[in-house]
Amino acid sequence: VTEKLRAGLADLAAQAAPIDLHRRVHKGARRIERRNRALGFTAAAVLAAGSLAVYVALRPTVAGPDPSVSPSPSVTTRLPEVDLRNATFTVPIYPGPWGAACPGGERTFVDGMVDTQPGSKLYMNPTLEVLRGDLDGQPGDERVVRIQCATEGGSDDNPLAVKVSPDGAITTLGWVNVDADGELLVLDPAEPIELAAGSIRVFVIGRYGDLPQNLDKQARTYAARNGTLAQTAGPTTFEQGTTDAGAIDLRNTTLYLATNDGPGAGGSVNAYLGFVKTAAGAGSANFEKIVDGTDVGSVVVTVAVRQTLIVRTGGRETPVAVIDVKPADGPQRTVVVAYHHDQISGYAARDPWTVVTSKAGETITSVTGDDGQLTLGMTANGVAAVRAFRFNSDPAGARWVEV
Amino acid sequence: MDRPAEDFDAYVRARTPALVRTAYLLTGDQHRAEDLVQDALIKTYRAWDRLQSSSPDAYTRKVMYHLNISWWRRGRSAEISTDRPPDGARGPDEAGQSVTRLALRAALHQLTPRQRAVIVLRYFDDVTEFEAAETLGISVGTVKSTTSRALLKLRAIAPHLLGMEGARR
Repeated sequence: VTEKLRAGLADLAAQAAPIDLHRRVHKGARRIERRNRALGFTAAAVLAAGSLAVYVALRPTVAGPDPSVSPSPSVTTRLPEVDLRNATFTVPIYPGPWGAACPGGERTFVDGMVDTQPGSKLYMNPTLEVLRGDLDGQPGDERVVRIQCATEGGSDDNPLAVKVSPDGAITTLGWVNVDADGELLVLDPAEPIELAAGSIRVFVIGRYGDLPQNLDKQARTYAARNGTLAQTAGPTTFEQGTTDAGAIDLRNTTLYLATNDGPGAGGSVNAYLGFVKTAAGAGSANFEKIVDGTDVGSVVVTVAVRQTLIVRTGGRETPVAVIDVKPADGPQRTVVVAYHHDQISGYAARDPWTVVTSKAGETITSVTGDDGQLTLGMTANGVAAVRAFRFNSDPAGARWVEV
Repeated sequence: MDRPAEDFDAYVRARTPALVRTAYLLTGDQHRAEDLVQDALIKTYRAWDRLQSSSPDAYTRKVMYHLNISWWRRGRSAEISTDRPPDGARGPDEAGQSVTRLALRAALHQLTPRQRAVIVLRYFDDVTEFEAAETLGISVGTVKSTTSRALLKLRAIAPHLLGMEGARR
């Protein structure tokens, strides 16, 4: 039976055109090296110099070391190089629904992996870099490593903070993105995790167990206090959603939106997508940039909600926003996004559908909604036009279609 | 002793064709396959000195499989919320391709990334269950169960691909 599958796979794989990637690989490697140099030169140079005195002097003053403690001979000791992918340290119970598959305990990682029980393991994705800096104002340094609970329906790569003492001992500070109740907070994948100025900042979009109703993008900051992580800045609760579409204010909420910038290679997509919190209709955030269906990195995007309206789809009221979207690396475009209710929870404005994205030379001049239809007044290269869109709720292919 | 850069260049030239073929099965698209292999090779380049006592090919493949799963997770939202129906399994130049080839590509597209990865590892790369588990960072038991479910799904979607015409689950 599988011989036919093997033959089919070999035949299909042979359709891939041969290509020499040598130049592209070297160009990409040089680009990453330049970026890393630009981002990490100062910290790396200080740490590589091995001078803790210099390191402490340059370190932010937040939660600095006890001034009553005199410098000891050890302050000039080179900080130990520790390979967390091959080390033993305590990993607390994995937050979210993965506690049973990945219970807490001391784990010995080998090449970034350790079994927790049959069928499950903790796993450090080798493509995600370990962050290094100061979180407690004490000698030694802290590391933040991304760990996944790899099991059926595995987790994302969530950040765990540990402390590496001057003697090389590793102690665990805790999972970064959990709240005071121990509930897992979902990270915004487009936003970087930043370890700087004596603290770590993450962008979260809600509690894992409460999404999508409590979708609410926030920056939260943590630092180590008495050997454990504690939140030092940012909100501590999330706004609750509503099932009443009429109560939704798209100018002052967290929007999830995606542009549709035309098809890419092989029918893939080109887009910017991300979460942005608006205040008085304006906001800015890192979005994921998708080119030919591939995530090529994050780009700062500024949005302005130009108009909001309600249209009825499937017998329910659906808020719609007309949003100007300006990526830092490209021209402004306008998107019309319909925020449908979540089919499972019933919460309003939790299921965004991009109705249309303006192309180069196009301007959306007006949007009206009536009888399940959105009607757009547009100009294309100076020529006025009217386009209308209606939601096709066919479960096999639900989407907004032009009529 | 560090591996010289010439070794890496030779490795890239020798292994790219095979890596692109595997990536093509994982992504279903030539351009995405090239990008996937390129990104995996960049990471291999950066780790080249550390790989002197191990297999760079195993490392590159491991990175490639993980990058692909990550891309899918991030990219699917864009597919869902776009106003064009996702049609990654279709392209303008496919009219003349065999029905079987099209059906297999479409069927692979219906699998989850992990299921697709396991199928490609086991039945194209011809690695053992243990090696597949190492590459994907999962247990052998998970490889077995994922393979079983993937084959069941393939049989349900396209029974003729596995010589199972008329079979019923």
